[in-house]
Amino acid sequence: MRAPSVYVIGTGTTRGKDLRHLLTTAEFRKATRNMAMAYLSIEEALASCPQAKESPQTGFVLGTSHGEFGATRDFLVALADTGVARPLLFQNSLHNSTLGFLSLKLKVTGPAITASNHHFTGENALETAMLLLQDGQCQYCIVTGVDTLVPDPVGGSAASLLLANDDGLNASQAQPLGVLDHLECVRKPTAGISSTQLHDDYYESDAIEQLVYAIRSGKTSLELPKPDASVSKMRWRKP
Amino acid sequence: MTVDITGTGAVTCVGATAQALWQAALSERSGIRGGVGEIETPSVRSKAVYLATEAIKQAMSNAGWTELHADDGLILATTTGQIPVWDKALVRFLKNQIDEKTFQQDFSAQPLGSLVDEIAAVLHFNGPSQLITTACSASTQALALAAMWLKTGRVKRVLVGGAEVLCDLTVQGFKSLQLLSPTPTMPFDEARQGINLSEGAGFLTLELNSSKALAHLSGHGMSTDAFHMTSPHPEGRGCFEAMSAALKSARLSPGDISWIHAHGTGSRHNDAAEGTAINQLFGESQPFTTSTKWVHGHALGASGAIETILCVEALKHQTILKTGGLKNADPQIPVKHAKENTQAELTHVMKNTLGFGGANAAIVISRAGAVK
Repeated sequence: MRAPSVYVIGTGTTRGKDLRHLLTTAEFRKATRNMAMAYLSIEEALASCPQAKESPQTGFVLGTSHGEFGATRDFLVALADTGVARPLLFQNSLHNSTLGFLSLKLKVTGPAITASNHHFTGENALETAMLLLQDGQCQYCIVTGVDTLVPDPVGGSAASLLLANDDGLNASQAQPLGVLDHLECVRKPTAGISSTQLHDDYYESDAIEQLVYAIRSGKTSLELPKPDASVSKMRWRKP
Repeated sequence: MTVDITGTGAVTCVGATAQALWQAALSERSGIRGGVGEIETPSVRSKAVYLATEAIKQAMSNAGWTELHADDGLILATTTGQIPVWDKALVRFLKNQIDEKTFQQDFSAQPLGSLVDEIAAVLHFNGPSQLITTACSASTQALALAAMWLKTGRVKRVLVGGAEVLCDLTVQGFKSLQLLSPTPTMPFDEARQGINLSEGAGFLTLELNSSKALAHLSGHGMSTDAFHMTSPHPEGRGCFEAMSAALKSARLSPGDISWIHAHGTGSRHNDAAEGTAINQLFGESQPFTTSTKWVHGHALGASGAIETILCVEALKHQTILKTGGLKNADPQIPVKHAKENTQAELTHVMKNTLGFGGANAAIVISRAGAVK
């Protein structure tokens, strides 16, 4: 039996967006760079479907490979220098902290999961979101990939998709941008530990961003080679 | 179609096997020393990899699996992964005390997915893999995801579980939030002071329609509180939703649950919120609720898997465990506690977890043969 359809009904990225105005607001002054980037991309993705905002039928899967590394670094340095553990830094330091912050801001009450699997982080987040929708655990699902560069936590990016199943699409009357068909991750034999060295604009959860660009440019397939010679392949249909 | 648990393996502060964990819980022996549940291991680069592979070997042996095949799946759960491999190296590098090459060797363990890479390498496995890091609900969510992978035919079998190690980030971090207890925790007690962090690994093998089922994973539910970064909703709303969803998924009603294995961390907020949710869902006819964290502590991302293993043993032995460390039940928390370990007819057990970020997950585990 064919799996239920999953539709892309919104996309968002942070490329070209200025974070500074957001990070200085009262609402975001305790937020990290990851939290702000992810929020901007989600805000754009949600614009196409107001029904998904603050809905108990909305789930959230966030993929991040390096997580809140900046807050972790600051926590550890402060601890080493002063012997004092800073509670706000700790609160923001876990990989799941981004999801926790954004769930609050977006009032997500459906299932919410943080995925982190190195070069397949974005893909894992996407396939997990598809499963939640196909299993009927939510009608909409935000999928976000976000990472900053390490060990200097600057740069990086975030991108988001808003996905829906048949129930969500019918309820929202949003126009689907694509129907996700196939996602495959081909992992090459692991010979040891992969390097965290990043090159060009690559970041380990960027599959979501690459998918956003591919959908926006009218493509229907995407193949993403990884630094460790693995590859992911995605296919979707135009509605 | 049944999702079956066919093997279990655990390494905790009370012993190096799932049986040792069960016996410690049965005999009320706590592995908490100085407020934490630490495990002594040989000198290894990565304690997380060591604990995980030990638990995995047990689970696979238990299940009669000699290797993982290309159509199997691997799902891990953790909160901080291999952080002790690189946390001190990071500080030393930033202070110019070590060179970049030395630093990078350790820092390559920073992405949580490096844990998947290393374990997959040990298992010679290239198939589908995933790592969940939704704080204390991570391995319960991993179990739910494993069930979905099997039911959708994505994989034929799944090795799923969690691994967590003690580290400065979590020990000092939880301390800064004033959530730790210096003595063994007292879940649901009116004098409870907080959590005991611990380390450990718990892994399970899952298959569809197995003739060797130890128990069934018959339902799962997830929700989010959207209330606070580190505290649960005071009325346990998200926990209520997760348990309700798990019952619906299992096609059961509250009266079908024989026992609730709570998250029960011993924190004032968690136990109150969870207890409220349990009372709201199960009402006056609620079954006994137990927390076993006095025995093995709170292993964060691995806790769901480790405690699910206790649920499997409880079903096998038809025994409800009492809540170790509970002397005077908090009258404000309306849940029922068994005064002693109790022989009982256990059919369906609810396992709860509540995590930072308001992430709630609940699963239903059923006695072997109880579901078809």
